[in-house]
Amino acid sequence: MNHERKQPPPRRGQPEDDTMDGSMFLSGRDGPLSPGDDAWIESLLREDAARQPHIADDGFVVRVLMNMPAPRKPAPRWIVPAATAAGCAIAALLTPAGAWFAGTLVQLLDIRNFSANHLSVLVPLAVFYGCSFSALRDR
Amino acid sequence: MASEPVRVQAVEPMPADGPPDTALVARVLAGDDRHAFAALVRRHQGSVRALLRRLCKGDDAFADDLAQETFLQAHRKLDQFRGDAKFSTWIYRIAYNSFLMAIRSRHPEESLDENSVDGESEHHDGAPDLHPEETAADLQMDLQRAMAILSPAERAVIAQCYYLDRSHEEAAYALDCPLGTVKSHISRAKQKLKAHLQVWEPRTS
Repeated sequence: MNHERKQPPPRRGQPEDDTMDGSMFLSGRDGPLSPGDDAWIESLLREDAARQPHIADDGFVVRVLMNMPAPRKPAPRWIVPAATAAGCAIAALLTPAGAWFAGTLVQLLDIRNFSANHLSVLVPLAVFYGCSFSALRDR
Repeated sequence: MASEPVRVQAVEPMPADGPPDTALVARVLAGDDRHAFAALVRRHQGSVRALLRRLCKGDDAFADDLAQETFLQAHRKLDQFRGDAKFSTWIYRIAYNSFLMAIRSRHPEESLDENSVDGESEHHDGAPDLHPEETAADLQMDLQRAMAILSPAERAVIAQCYYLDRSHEEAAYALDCPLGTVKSHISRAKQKLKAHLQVWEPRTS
C-alpha cells in the first residue's frame, strides 16, 4: 500500500472513526479480524517492520561473554572418595560404634579366621563399593 | 478482564545456522558450554536489541545495555527454561522485564499503562507539519514519533505482534499478561496511532 499524506490534514477535535471503539482487534500474525478501516495502519506498521535494518553484532556477543561470570570449575574427581574415606576413618577412631565396626572389619579380613560365613558379608560389601566406584567414574 | 489461559506453540523450526536452540540450551546446562551460549546470543541478539530499541524509543545505547543484561540474566536463569515456549519468546520475556525494571527505576511514578511523559509526547498530539516533499523517511519518522506516545505496555505489544511477528499468545507469554490484555493493548495502541497518523491514511476515491 502506498501511503501518502492527505491534504488537508485532520485537526484536533475531529470526531474519531466509528471503528475506534476497542471492540475489534487486529494483529500482525493473527491476521485481520475486522475489515477495512484498520487495514491501513496495519499495513503501515508492517511496511515499517519490513524496513527495519538488521542489527549487526558489532562486538555485542563478545561484550556479553566478557561480562559473564567465570566458568564453573568441576570438583576434582578424587574429592568424593577421599572425603568418604576420611569421614569413615574419623568415625572409626572417635566413636565406640566406629571402633567396634573397625574391629569387626579387621576380624573379617583376617585370613586366619576366614570361613564361608565371611563371604556373606564381604561379597555384598564388595558389590556395593564396586558399584559406587563405577558410578563415580562414569560421572 | 477475565484472564485467558495462554498456550504457546513451543515447536521451534530448525535454524539454518546450526543446532536448534533447545540443543544449545542443553549443552550450556550440561557443561556450562560458552560456545553454545555464544551461539544463542549471536542468533537472538538482533531481535532482542531491536525490540529493546523500540521500547526505549531510539535510545540505542541504553537499549543495548538492557540487551546485554537480558542475556546475562538468561544465562543465570537458563535452568528455569522449561521449553514450554520458544527460546526466543522466553528471552523476549526477560528483555521486557529488564525494560520494566529499568523504567521503574528511572521513573518510579510512571505507570506502565500511561503514555510516556517525556517531550516526545507533546510533540505530536495533532497532525504533523506538512511539507510538499513527503517521503518514506517522513512516514518512518512520523511513525516513530507516534510510537513514542504509546504507553510502554502498548509499545511492547505492537513491537511483539508487528515488528517481531509474534502471535497474540506468544506476545501474552512474553509480556506475562493475559491474552485479553494483549488484545486491548493492541486496540488502544492502534486507536492512538490512527489518531496521530491520520494524514497518512490512504485516500479513498
